[in-house]
Amino acid sequence: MNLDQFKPLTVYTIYIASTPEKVWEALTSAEFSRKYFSGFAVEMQPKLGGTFIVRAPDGSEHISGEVFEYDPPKKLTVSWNVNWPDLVEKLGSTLVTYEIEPAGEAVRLTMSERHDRPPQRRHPLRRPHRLAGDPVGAEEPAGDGQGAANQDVAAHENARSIEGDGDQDAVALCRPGAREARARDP
Amino acid sequence: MARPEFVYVTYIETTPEKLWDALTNSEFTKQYWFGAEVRSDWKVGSPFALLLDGETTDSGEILEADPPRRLSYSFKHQKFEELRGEPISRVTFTIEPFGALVRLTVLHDGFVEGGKYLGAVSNGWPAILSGLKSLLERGKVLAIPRAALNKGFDAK
Repeated sequence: MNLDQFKPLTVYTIYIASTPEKVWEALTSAEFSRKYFSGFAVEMQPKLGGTFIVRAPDGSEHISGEVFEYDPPKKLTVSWNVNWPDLVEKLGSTLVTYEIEPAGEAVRLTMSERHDRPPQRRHPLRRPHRLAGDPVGAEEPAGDGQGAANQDVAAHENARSIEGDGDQDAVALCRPGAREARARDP
Repeated sequence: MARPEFVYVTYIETTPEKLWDALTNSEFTKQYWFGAEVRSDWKVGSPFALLLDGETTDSGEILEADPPRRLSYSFKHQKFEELRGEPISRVTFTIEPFGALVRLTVLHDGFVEGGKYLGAVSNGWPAILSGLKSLLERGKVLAIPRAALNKGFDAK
């Protein structure tokens, strides 16, 4: 898999009163993730090429992936394939990267979600026809065309509409922070 | 193409009224907005200004004010020469109760394709809003260096 072919769709940055080590642990340990991820357990083999699984409370593998970049406590990239019927087949593989940097007494955590799908033209939001993770407004960033500064892509955190009403819980299970990342739905 | 815009959503353990106050009271904004003060009487059509160390960095007018639900003002940068040429942008805060929490959505739009301003605000807002969340939830702000505000802008 060529990581360079993956284009950012969602970038979310938050500053947290914590240490890089604690944020890393929160993102990669089952015990910790169950507390904020609706009981879902992150099970990661802590090495490059290791498996990355998010296990649902019923024991099923909700998300299956692999570790592609492993640099604790600074950077982690995993594939993040949600095991909903046909989802990966239709949408392709998803990569999630966490970047953790000290920022004064806080930690700057940036989550970016990337896909290997080509940029698409904006299409109107019509909730019933949309799938979770389906890109809306996933065009190239405004600017120099090469993604500009990483953070510019935050502008891309464009309308991400998800399946019809009652979708929020389902979406929240997609990834940690999904609620926060779920953007405006005009 | 999608219009260039910045959208940020954060959930804060507070009330809509307290959040509204935090967005419109300059004593409050000074604490989490890296010392910046907001100045307005928050009536539609009234002037809005953002001051840092007594200097107006951005100004505009109130476009919408529906406390404690929705606030929108135009936003024109005044300080940096490189950003002054960009068009007037718009900031819209939407505050919604969400169970025991409040969901705050910040939409900043009206940017020009290829401009620098979007990059600058895209770095600024996460730092400001993280500070706001921490202040409302913990009673104290995060000690984030002010450089975080200019990160994207300086990088260009």
